[in-house]
Amino acid sequence: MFDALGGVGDPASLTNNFETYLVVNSNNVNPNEDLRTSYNDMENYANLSNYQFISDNYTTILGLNAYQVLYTWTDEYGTQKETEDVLIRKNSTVYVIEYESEIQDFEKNQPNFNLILNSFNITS
Amino acid sequence: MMDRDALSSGELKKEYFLLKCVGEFKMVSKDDAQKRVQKVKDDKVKCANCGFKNKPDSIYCQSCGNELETASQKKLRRKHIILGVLILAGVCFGFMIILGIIASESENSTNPIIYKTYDNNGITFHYPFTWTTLNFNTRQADV
Repeated sequence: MFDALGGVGDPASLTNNFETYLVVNSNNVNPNEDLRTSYNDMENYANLSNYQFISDNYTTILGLNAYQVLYTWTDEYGTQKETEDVLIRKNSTVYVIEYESEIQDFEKNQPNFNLILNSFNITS
Repeated sequence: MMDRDALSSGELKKEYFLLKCVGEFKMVSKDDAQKRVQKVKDDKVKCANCGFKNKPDSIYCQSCGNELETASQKKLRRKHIILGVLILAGVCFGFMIILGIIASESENSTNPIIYKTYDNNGITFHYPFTWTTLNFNTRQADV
């Protein structure tokens, strides 16, 4: 079960809801488990309409193991979305930073997402 | 020596009479005579209105009475044109330099993003100033 930690969005993208936004959740995981496995256990892709995997990769953020996933899908209003999920694991907690935008605005908002990701810090 | 062919030219006759009238008549070679005639032709002032070729020192056109442009005025006009072209070229050159500097500066500078800081629930991050925090469960803006 996710614990919601915070979220920000672009009011200019407020149509049906925020089309461009970012949320941070946390979840308890097995610290020895592969991050891709943890992520697949958390996400239920079957609920996402027109899910299309684009890419994934392992990386390091804040000196911690991280895993990035990029994919597209269609929301309940028929809007085509592109999402980038970034998982950062600290001990037995994984932090999931989920950046989502309409496909045509994804690239444009990438610098904003980078601002958030590059400044992200875990204080607890 | 001036030959008959040369003398049969209308221009040469005018030159001949002109020289004669001012008391400077003398026999010249055909080449010299033709050079003098050509000089007289070149020095003539063409009327901008009717195209009539007037005597070099004419102020008004003998044909239509239009005021003629004197040689000094013509030189002055040419100077003004050359000066204008040089000024225009200088302005264009300066403008291009300014554009180059601006383009160079914009390439070198990074556009700073003004941000706010989120600090809650054990996490911190910067986010764009124009963005707002939201209730992420419903994705509605926090008020």
